[in-house]
Amino acid sequence: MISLQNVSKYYPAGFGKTYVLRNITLDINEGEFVSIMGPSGSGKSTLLHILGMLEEPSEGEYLFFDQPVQKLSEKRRTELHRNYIGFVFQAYHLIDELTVYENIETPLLYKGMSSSERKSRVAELLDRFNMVAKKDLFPSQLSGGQQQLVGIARAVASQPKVIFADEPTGNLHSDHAKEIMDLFKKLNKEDGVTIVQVTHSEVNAEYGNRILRLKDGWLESFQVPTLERE
Amino acid sequence: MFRNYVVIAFRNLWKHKLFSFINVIGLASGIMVCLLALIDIKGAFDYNNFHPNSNRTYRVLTDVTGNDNQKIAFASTPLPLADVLKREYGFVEKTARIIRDYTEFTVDQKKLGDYYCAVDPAFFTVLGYKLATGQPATAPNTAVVTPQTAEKFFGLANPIGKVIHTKEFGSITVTGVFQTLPIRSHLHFGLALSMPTLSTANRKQQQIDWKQYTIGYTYVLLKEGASVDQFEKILPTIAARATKAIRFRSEKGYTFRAQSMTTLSPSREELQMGTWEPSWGKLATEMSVGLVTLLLAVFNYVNLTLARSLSRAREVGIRKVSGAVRWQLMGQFMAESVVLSVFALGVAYVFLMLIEPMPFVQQWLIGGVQLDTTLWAVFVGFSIVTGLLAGFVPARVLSGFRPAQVLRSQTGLKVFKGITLRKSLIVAQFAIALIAMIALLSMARQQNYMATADYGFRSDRILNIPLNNVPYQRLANELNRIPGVEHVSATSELFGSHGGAYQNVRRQKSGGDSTAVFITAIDQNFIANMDLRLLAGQNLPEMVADTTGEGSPGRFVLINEEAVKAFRMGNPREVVGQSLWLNDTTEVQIAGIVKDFRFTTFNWTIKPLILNYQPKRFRFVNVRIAERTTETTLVGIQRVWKSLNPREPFAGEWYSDFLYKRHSHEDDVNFMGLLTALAFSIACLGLLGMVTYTTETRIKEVGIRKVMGAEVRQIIWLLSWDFVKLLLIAGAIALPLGYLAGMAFLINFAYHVSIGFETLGGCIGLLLGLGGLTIGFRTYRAALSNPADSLRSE
Ligand SMILES: Nc1ncnc2c1ncn2[C@@H]1O[C@H](COP(=O)(O)OP(=O)(O)OP(=O)(O)O)[C@@H](O)[C@H]1O
Ligand SMILES: [Mg+2]
Repeated sequence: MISLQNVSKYYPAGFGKTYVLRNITLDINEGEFVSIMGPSGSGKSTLLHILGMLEEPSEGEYLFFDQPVQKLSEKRRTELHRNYIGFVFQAYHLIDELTVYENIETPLLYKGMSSSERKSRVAELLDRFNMVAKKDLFPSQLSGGQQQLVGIARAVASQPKVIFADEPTGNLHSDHAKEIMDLFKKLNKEDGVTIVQVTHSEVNAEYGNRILRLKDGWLESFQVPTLERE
Repeated sequence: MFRNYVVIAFRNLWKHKLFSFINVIGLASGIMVCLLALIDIKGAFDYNNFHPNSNRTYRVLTDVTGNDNQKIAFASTPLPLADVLKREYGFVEKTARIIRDYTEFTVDQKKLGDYYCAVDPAFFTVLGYKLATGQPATAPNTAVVTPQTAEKFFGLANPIGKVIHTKEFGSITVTGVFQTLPIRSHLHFGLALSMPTLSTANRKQQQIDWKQYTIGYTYVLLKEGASVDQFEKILPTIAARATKAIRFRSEKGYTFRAQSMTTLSPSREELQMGTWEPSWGKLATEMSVGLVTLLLAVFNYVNLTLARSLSRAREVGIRKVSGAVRWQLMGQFMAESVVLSVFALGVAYVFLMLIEPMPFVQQWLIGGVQLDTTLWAVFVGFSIVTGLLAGFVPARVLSGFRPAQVLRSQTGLKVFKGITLRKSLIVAQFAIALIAMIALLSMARQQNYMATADYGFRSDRILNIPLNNVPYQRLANELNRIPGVEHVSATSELFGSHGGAYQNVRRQKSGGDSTAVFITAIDQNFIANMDLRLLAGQNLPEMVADTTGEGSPGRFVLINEEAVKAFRMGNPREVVGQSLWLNDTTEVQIAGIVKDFRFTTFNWTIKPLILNYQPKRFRFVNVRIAERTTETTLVGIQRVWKSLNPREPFAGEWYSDFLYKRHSHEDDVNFMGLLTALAFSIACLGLLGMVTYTTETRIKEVGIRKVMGAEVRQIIWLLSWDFVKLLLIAGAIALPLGYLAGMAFLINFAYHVSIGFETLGGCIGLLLGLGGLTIGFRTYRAALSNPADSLRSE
């Protein structure tokens, strides 16, 4: 599903360039749960952004469902964002002016769903995430954990094939964190959503079926993908 | 999706109240000025609309070619034209001639001036001035009056059948009353006299004279289905035929062309002998003033939206990763500006209601215009377009954020966009406001100067009383008896205004150069009364007028120094005793030379002036009142007036008050002051917003600096300096431009104030003062903030 071939990312610095990612070769299959770990500044977020097509690699090739991403038009890329990809952020990044309900609804709007479809889909998600009572509240009226739940609900709303989560529990206490991780696990298992998360916590990393370690832009260890099936 | 946009727009506007307040007030001010202009434009079309069949009604214009080959267009035509058109051309249904003039009417011994139109019978059917009661005036010496004139002439009595008198036409019987004339009409008049009323030899001559093309207007109603082309084609033919036999003096000839009633207003070209229709130029000027004001407000919107871009950037990132494309985000931002702008339209309408009673607004802009649905549709359309345009630039900038950038860090990268643009807009706003202020202040100072300056004649403690047919000698005798009255004199003209009558005067009986000279009639007391100085010779000799006030004109005249120069007479002493010819038969002798004084407005330099004794022309008495006037003196004067003329109310006015009213133009200055104040408030509000948002983003820096020991004073300066710099740049740009703008106005006056330190300094002082307060208000609060709060929150 995801295949990186010798992908590098660098930024111009002075007369030269500083590499953030070097020669990353990586395959992620559908249904996997991958954790990316590494020290601060090692390029984890950058890698996630490249995978999520928010940033372009400087070198190398990226195939998403066998399509070369570099050659995709802006329109096609937006289409992928609408239908294949969901994002979860450490800082939740909810829209402050929108209620819980509307935040979850946002991706559906851009997907062009009809109003009744949207309604039933959001209702379903609220129900599933136990947020029905909170649907008319604004983000500022929620706890961090609740906000992240909304963030995840929003990410799954458009039924993506893959969710990219950048330190989704970074701002949360451990019990909240556990709740979120369980949720990811469940999404991965029950809905077959591919999940790629960045985390600093070994405990959280263990939720995945595979751990990638980054150091100074190099991919350090490489575990052979073992697809868990129950 | 659209509903979603609007909901979010409302929430955003509600949440950011300062932002919304500044923009709504600013946009509403700008839109209000535009509404005034739009209403006036709509009104300009009303001029054509009330005439029946205006699509086949035409006014004939005369294009005159001068000896210098200059073409000049006249709205008027020779009077015989109408007859030719009607007699010889089958497609002409009716023609109506109109002669406009002003004359004095005597009603019950009251003398009342009014504008009249002498009209052909067809006037009442071709043009849309409808009668309320009575019959059209067609028989000789009949007239139809407007309701206003009826009331002025006859009070509440039924005007029909009443008789009014004029010197020129004798008695005239009123046969009908018009409905109130539309305010938006290209003709303004108090009475319509039947054409045959104009029966003097001179008037009859005019009616058959092809040489005079400035006397009257010709309106033509074509038959239904008649070809306009044909009509347009025959006009030059008629002109060619008519001019063949004429030997013109100062022109080569003329030709005719048709002007459709549907396009009469607004006028596309300047016509001599023009009527009251507004010109495109006037409307365009108004609209540009409105658009500039609106532009200032749009600048605020752009600025403040960009200043808030930090908080919007994250939203853009999130929406983009949720699958939004750029145009959808632009749509969302522009929906916000449109909602704001439509809301501002509502507020603008409230503003409009508030300023509607202002005399300037009534008189020049919106008087008599109905706000119909079309106009409202235009308003709403206008405000939507405004919103779209205002929203476009910020929408483009905001929608351009890249999600990877703005979502990367927790607190959001410090993304500043369009800093240079924002600074330029602030500078432009203040520069425009300052230029307007300097120009306005120059104007106001000039008008105040003209209202209060020393004209060279006495204006304080002089009470001018219009004679209104009271015999002047009797009035003067009576007034002189009242204790407290020092002098009484008479004049035909109040100085300090348009200067009165002028004519060509020669030094020889015939031949030789003639010089245009103002001629004012005075009596021999005038010179002393008005503190005028004789440089040579003597005052006018004492003339004993009989008690009726009808004395014969004197043989002696006084002239001013400028006249001495104009006649090239040399030394003032030698001038005394020389003679001048007022016309072929009237020779007068110069008795004395008056020191120059300013007898016209300051638009002109001092012109040649002749003062002579012509009691028939006297229109005012000037009463000089002793220094410590008691109320009893004034009461006495009024009593004398009442005894001599019980019908007319006393209309005495202090000379200084007259000059003040004549020159101060408070209405105009008030309105323009309002515009300038709007421009200035918009700029200040914008600045307030900018300082607020910028300071907010630096609040952490302020906290850190305070912790490190910075004083409040230093922090205020740190936060303010960037903005003060912008004000200074605006000042540097606006001072020279404002100076030029002010001079462009003042150049019209021969005597004018200078734009000196007090104007420029005052304006820039006000700019820095108000701007400084705006900046200081916010930065002071920021500087006082407790660092613990700002540092903890991150
Ligand atoms: N626009 C940019 N220009 C230059 N350097 C950049 C840019 N964006 C990121 N970097 C650099 O890339 C490196 C990797 O950043 P990245 O955010 O991917 O690290 P990370 O592994 O996610 O760290 P953390 O655990 O702190 O989130 C950092 O050293 C950062 O300074
Ligand atoms: Mg990171």
